[in-house]
Amino acid sequence: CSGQKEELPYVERPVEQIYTEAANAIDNRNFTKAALLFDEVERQHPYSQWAVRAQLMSAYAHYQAVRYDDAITTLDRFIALHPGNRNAAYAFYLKALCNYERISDVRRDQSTTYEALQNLQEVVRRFPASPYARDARLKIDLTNDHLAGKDMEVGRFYLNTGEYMGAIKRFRRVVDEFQGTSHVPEALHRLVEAYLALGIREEAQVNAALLGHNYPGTVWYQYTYALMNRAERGERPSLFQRAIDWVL
Amino acid sequence: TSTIALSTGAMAQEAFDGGIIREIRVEGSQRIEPTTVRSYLTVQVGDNFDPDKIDQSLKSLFATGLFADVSIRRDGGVMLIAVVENPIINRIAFEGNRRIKTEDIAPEVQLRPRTVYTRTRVQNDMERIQELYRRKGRFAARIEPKIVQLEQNRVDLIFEIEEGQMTGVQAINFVNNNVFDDSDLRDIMITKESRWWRFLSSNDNYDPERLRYDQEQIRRHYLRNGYADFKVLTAVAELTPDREDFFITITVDEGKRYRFGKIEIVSDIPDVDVEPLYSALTAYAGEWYNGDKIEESITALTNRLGDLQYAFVEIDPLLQRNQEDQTIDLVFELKESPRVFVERIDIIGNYSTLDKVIRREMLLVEGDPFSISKVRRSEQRVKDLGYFLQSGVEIKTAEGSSRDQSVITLEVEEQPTGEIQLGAGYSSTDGALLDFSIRQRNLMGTGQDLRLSTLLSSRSFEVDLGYTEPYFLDRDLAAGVDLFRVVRDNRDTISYDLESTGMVLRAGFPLSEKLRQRISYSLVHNKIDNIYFGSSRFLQDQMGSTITSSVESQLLYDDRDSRIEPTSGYYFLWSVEFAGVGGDTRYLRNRITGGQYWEPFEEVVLGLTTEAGYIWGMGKDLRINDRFFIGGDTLRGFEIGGIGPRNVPNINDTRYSDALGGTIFSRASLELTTKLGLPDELGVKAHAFYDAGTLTAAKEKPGEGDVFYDSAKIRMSAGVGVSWKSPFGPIRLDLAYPIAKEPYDQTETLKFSFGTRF
Repeated sequence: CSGQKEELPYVERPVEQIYTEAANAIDNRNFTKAALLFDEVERQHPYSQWAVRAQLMSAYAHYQAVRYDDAITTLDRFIALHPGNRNAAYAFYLKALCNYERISDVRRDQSTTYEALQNLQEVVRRFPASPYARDARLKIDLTNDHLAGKDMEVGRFYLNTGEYMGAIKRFRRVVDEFQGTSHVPEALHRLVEAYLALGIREEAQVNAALLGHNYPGTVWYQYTYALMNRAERGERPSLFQRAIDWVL
Repeated sequence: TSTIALSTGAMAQEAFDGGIIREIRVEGSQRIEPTTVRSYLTVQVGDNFDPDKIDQSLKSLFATGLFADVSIRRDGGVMLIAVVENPIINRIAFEGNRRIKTEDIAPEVQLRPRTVYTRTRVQNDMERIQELYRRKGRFAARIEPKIVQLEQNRVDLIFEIEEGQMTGVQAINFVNNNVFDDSDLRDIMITKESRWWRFLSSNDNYDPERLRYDQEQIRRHYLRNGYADFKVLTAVAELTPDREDFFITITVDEGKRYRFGKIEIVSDIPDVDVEPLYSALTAYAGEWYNGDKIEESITALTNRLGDLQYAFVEIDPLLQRNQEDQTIDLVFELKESPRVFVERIDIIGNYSTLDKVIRREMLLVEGDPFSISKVRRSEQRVKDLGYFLQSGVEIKTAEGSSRDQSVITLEVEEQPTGEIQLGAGYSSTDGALLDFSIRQRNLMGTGQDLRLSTLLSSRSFEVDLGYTEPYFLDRDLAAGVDLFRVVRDNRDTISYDLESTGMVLRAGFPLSEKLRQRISYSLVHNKIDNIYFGSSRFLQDQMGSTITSSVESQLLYDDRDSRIEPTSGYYFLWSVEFAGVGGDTRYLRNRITGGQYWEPFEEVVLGLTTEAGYIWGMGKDLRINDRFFIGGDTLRGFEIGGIGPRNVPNINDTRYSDALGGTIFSRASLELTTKLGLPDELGVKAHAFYDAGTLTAAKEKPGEGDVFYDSAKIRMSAGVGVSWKSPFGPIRLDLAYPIAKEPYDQTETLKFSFGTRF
């Protein structure tokens, strides 16, 4: 934050003057000031042609100033007022970005991730031919990867605490619902771990085979391979390994 | 041509029947583009003039909230839509608010500059502001919206606020209560009457939500005491004519008092053997009826059945009133409940706290049989973490992917978990003291606890840095480390200064629900200095530095109902410390503590604590500061180190003597605590106590020209005290008289402490 005041002194001015000042602020990368000025255009001259553009510019400036809530409020208003505007695709896309930028790490609340996913899907659904859709598709993949990461995190927690059934449910979900994501090989390996811990050899075997067939080159397959071999020979882990397992 | 309004479907019928829409024309839109207006229509060019669809279009245009008025007409093949746009808000201002700052009101208001003005929205915002004032106890607040019309169809909106007086509770009265008197019932309520001493509390403001909670508390109180038919008939809060205070009147119907009659368990599930289940019940025939006992019994039965692998059981208590002998027969009916499993547990709202920190408090795991009682207890456990607002923790359940799957959503609202405390006070052992601590209970959302505390008094300086991870490696293992430094001027009591610097590594884990084990390792550097020139030669030998490296094991069995203010139950603590894992000192210190609490009469608690200890030097000399000292809080009526082995260095001047500490001690304390019938929230309690103890067996032998005292005789004292949990910190005053003492013991009749420590 540049220490800019939240409110501008209220002075009635011609629309061109405010708009130019706002545009200059954008050029100088003073986004907080720009947002306030663009808002002022709309506030003082809501019926001018400039107001429509100012709304979108204000959203962009808020977005750049990392004030996503303000940007989303402005964009929602733009979308409600001008759903047919030629810049509507951009408005939808910018709204998705505001949520996308706020995605927190998988150990915390993921509601913005879901929100971002829905916004991105809306861009693709409404404006499939727009250049924004292309980027949105990419970001949908990344968002899905993140959501799969959340399930992995919870699954690993259950695995660590010995709640194998809970762990299996989460890893299954990653394998079934997030097929293209980077987490699938690990999820398959964790499934093998959980099934072996429960003593269900056949299920472990099935998942190990799936992992070997689809992701033979991954480090997870190596782990699974070692794990299955040991289980096959009926070997118990070494005394040292058991000591470590007991301590951890 | 004809005009229709919202509800004139019949008229529209005639006007719009037939014909094709050739053109849609929008009139009167200024800011909103005609295309936007068209996008809300359910008809388009080429469609028929369908009255239903046109009516729907009208409704959807109104629903946008963008227009003050909309009308649709027909002119031949042209559909004319005339709109009047709602004004746009230019500025929002608040006037007259002093108690609540504009920054705090503005976010609550949903209208913003540049949004569309509608009367409904203004109405909603007025209610929100009103609600803000109600929460602050200002029911008399009035809010008036003022609108200033500007050109270009814009308005300035000004909320004029008249804050009014604080609305307190002048009196709480009860009607029809015979069993419990007004003051008994007032004690149960959180809402309190306004009194001068409640200047720091807000419970004497009227809050309808709190009054509802209070009614439930009163109802439960009667149900606990046998009044099964109890009802709150009305609870009325009347504003006094000056709108400053409330009179609360609660009318009750107490009904008759019942005892439990026959208690039975009946099972609809074929293979459940009910006989062994009776032992789980906590309600017994012949006792006064008690609603809590029924709840407890249901929980106990559910748990017992869960152990027997019956996860899907619902237990209904059926009550049968027998009017002639005033008993209630109770039948616990076990029924099979739907087989529903937990599909997923979602946690939301944890923007800073880690998922697992909350998830580990859940008693249910994904894939478990669904149990509503476990859901409730989990909710309580999450609340007990203290990381979230009490009202912000909410569990919702919804059907999952199929009918036998349930998705649990736990929503939390975080609250600040950092604490800063500053305390000042006075105690007879430390003199004036200043206490400062800073603590983060949920360090970066990991559930770890970090605290730094310092204490500065006229005789000591202490600093302590502690860090605890409550679930070390995701296990139920609390591990932590403490670093500390203590500088103490002990010259008044034991004639030397002590500087102690060290660290403790500790780990604690539960062995069962009530039994906890704690293991710790400590490394401490002690320096004894400034020994008073004329003091005992045994003390003079202690001068210098030592390093103590020790391991300690503590076993605690705790069956008390509360750790802070127990009223029933007992506890037992056994600790063994071995020093000599490297370091300069070597000893084995054993200590056993036990306590038991009773409540012989209502609001009177009797507590008995006993303690004994033995330290063995294992062939090495025991240093004085490793030995036991009792007195002060542990044996009232005597100074710290006031009893036990003593040395008078100069036989001609017996005024100076030094405590040497003992290797064996035992003590016991019997204390009666009562609230003196004062209201709970005053926090004043009176105490009467009787202490006994002995400390003996120093290894030193008397020498030439000095006197050496060591007696195993039991010292006793009795006294009274009063304590007050004041808003500024706890205060306690004790007056103790030694009944049995040795002539050389150092006594202390009056003990006063004020501040953060007792």
